[in-house]
Amino acid sequence: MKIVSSIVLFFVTMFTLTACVPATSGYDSNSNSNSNSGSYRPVSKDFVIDEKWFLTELNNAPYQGPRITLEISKGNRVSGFSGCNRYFGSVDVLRNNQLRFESVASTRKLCIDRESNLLEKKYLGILREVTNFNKSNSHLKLYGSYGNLTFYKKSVR
Amino acid sequence: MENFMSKYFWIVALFVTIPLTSFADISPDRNFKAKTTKIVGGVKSPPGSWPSTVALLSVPTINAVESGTATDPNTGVIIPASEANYQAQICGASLIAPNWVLTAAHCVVDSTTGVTIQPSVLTTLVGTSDLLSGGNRISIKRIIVHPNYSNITTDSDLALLELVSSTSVPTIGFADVDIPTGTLATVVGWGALDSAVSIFPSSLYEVDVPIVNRATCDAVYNSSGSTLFTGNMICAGYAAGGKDTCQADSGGPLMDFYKGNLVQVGITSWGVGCAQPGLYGVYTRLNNFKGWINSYITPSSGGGSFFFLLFPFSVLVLFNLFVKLQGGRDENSK
Repeated sequence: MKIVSSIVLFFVTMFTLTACVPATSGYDSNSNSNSNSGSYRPVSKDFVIDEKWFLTELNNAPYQGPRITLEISKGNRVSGFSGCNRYFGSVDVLRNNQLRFESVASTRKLCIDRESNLLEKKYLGILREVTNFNKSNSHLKLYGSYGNLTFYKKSVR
Repeated sequence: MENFMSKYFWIVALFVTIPLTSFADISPDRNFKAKTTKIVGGVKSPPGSWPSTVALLSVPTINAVESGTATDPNTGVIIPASEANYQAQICGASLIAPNWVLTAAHCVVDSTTGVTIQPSVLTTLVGTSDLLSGGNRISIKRIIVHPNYSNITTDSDLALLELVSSTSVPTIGFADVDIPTGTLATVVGWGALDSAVSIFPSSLYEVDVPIVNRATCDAVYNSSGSTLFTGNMICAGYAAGGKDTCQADSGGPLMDFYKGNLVQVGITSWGVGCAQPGLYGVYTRLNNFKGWINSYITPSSGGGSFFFLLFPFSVLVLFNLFVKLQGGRDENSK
């Protein structure tokens, strides 16, 4: 009887534990195992879902222009403010700190401050070519062939 | 007496028909337009071609330029006051009734907060295609953003601006159906002439772009999981790119001829870069919003082009009635 109880307890415990493991683990920036490079994975909760990121550096120089933001929400949706216009699109997070923004569109208003137009164009140009990222609790760094962007985090409330 | 009045009937008929034919002259003859490569594939509009097109201007910028405190960021030279309208233009718009202007919601909503900006921050320039000369500034009394406008997705991107006073500048109406795929529509604006967003004209430019079928727009913008292109949008342009709207064109009208009348079918809204191959320009689908617009644009406040067209015929009918009644009285008095 004691053996049967132990077996039942074992299976119940195992069942409970496996139920806690998500079916899709999502991106794990520290994990390089099972690196099937190029396969797409959904943005997971431990990435940047429902968090607002503010641009602090543009090409390693402190950014001091109009506020630029980046938000990633459910459904791989990306949106933000590029200093004058809103922009929106989607993001694909791959393995090995790889990431790609798809069809980053923006509205077509003109900034009164002409400098903002140039900054906006530069920012969106870099964002559209981003290929890699690094993320910590407070910072997100995006790298690509056109340059790099550093953001700090602020939770959306 | 009846013969005498009948003669007058035709004179009056001729008199009220002349303005209608002159309205037809306002529309450019697109079959004979010279094509050169400008405004990301467009051409400079002849003055007076699109009289209902309105420029949306920033009041703080106008004040800075006209007070002589605005300087060129590159040279440090003070910007002349004559450039106030040119420097202050941020979006396009269209006159849909003598005191109502239609534009994109994102032109009048603070992008960071999602809050509608104060009417005093913007003003309109009507009655000119040249930002350096002509036209009248008319202040905005009220801004009404469509209740479903999303600052995140740009869905339902339209807003109405009520002007403080009416203008006699011709208005533009709407079609009562969606314009078919493949139709060549015209979009106008003072936006960037190049996809590098570096050259801005002082004159109005126009470009013809075909309406693209919805399945293609879906495939381009909704294929990667998120829905950028919604049912409240239409897209237009060429697969090869090269012809498109760009920064500062937002809010301007996408137009076509429907049943012989020039009508507005869309509002310039968004795109991926400008004039990029396979990335069509996206416009607010006006056919979905006619009810909402008409709920504000009442006949007492104007009525738009349709009112303009009906008015002369109403005069004719009333005049004819008057003639008949008068004729009847003459008969009785004999």
